[in-house]
Amino acid sequence: MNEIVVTAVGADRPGIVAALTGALLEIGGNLEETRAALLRGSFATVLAVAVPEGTGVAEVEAALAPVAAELGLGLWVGAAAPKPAGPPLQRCVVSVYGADRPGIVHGMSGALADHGANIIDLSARLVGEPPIYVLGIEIELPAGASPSGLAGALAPVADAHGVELTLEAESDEVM
Amino acid sequence: MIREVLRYPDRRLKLPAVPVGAPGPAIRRLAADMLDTARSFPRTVGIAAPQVGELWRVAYVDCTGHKKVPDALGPLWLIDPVIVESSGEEIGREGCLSLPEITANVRRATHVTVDATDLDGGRRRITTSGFEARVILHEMDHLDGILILDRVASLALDVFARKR
Repeated sequence: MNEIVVTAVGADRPGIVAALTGALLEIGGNLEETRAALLRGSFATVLAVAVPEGTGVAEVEAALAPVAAELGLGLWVGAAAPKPAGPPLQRCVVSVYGADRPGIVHGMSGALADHGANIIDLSARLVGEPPIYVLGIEIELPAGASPSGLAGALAPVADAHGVELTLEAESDEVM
Repeated sequence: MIREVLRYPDRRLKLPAVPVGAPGPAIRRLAADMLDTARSFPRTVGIAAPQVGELWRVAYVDCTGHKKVPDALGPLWLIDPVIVESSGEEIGREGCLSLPEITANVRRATHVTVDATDLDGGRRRITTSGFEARVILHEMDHLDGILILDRVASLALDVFARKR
């Protein structure tokens, strides 16, 4: 199997996922992971799809191009990057909220990058009235780093942006 | 004896377990196996009989030494447990031996009082709160065929892949 990644973005309407996945099914594709989000009026999806040997990026792109054209979607198709190797890393969830102002995501993500933390999931939006900006980031810590150490390093960044910040280590107990 | 832990989608995890009544030798053997099985996994704070394929209403909880539970009640056997009272609610992350690849955010009561039979056959009342209450409620869910994936508000937002 070949691992292919597809992204498609465009004005939202019913049927986008159905049309894309239908075209992938036609060429023998099997969806492995899929994410989609509606941001204001724009719908975006990322699909990791396994396709049969002999089917490559060009074939997948050819299968999806008519669908994208009909639905007015921007389309990108590429080979999947290899899965990360190595020992498991400590995961944490960073939660940030406060009054909206430019630079919150950049400030936080910059501080995380400075400390070698890798963002693996991120979602941010405005909620309520007056609007509150809420930002959730899931990260992997570099080997040997501690959640409390990172929390201490992020606190001044949060202060500088006037937002509240908590960092919670992913619990590893099982029941 | 360490038993194999069932993993979803094994259908036995979705079935209700039957009451024990007075625990006899077979239940005590099952309890010993559950203990061996729980101890064979690191950082295990509880296990329920259906997780080892036995559809009896038997669960075990031990939060001793856990940093979130400084005043843990110690090892608890919960046979035919019944919730007498529960209050408060809090969302917390849970991991399950039967869903080893994920964790999920689950809303649970923060204070709980449970009546349960101990291994010696005596009926006891257990009152606890916080993480220990969460573990008790998680294990009791197993006795009704309920998994954390049944408890999340959103499968999209509240379920997380475990460390790779």
